[in-house]
Amino acid sequence: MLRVPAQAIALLALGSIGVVATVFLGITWAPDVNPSQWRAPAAYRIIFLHVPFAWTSFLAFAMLFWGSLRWYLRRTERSWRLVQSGSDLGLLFGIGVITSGPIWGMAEWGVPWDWADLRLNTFGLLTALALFIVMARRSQPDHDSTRDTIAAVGLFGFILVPITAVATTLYQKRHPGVVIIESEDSGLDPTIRAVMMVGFVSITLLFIGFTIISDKLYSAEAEIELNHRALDEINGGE
Amino acid sequence: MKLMEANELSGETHLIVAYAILIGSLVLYGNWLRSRYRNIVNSRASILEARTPHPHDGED
Repeated sequence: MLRVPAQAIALLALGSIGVVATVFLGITWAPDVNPSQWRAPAAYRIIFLHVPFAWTSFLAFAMLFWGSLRWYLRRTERSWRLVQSGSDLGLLFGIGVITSGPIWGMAEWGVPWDWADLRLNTFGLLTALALFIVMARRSQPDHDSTRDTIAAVGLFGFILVPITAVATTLYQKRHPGVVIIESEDSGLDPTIRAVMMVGFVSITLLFIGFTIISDKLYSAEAEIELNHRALDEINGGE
Repeated sequence: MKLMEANELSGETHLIVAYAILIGSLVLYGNWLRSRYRNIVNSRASILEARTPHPHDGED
């Protein structure tokens, strides 16, 4: 019987409660923004989940990078599982960011996307890269040469992460700047910051829980694949 | 004033849609993990069955 660690289930439960609390606090406790300065003041509350999703996607992309690097250095199943889970979770959180962001953009800017904005486009590319890796893993035969190619994409694609992270500091076109780090520019209300931190913690707990379970499942699936091959050989040899 | 009310409503609608997509994607991913878990449990059972010799094997 496959055992899912109780810690992972506990993390998922805590994270889920935290997400519900974030939405509740974000709607009821966080203050309204000045309606004269914003086109769609209510829509700003999207940030309470959008920003934690973006942060967590960077954790997933870092896991993908680390797995790709280790695959080249050690070629272990464990490092390949990091690539698998990292790309799955990078895609999950990346899609969350590139759908919720344009929804806010549509309400606030009147357009969902700005092709001249560095952060939007590098983050879109990062998510496309995760999509490519997930699809390549599922469509190509699982050989070392395939893994090498996929790991190379994961390795070099990570260059986009620091570019995306500093994009609003170095080259701000339209996407709002950094909001969590204390600065004169951010001027974030303490209540808004507190709700966002609840969101960060909750989504990070979900990310850790998902990672533990995903790793277990990929490990078990690899074992089953080996067993199937062994059975096929026995049946073929009879 | 009317324009502002329309924007306010529109912002709320956008907020609901965004939250539904974000939370829905987490739920979908969780369900996918659960279905993979079930597949693994079923596959393990079928492998065990295939490996277990039939009680009447080798009697002839």
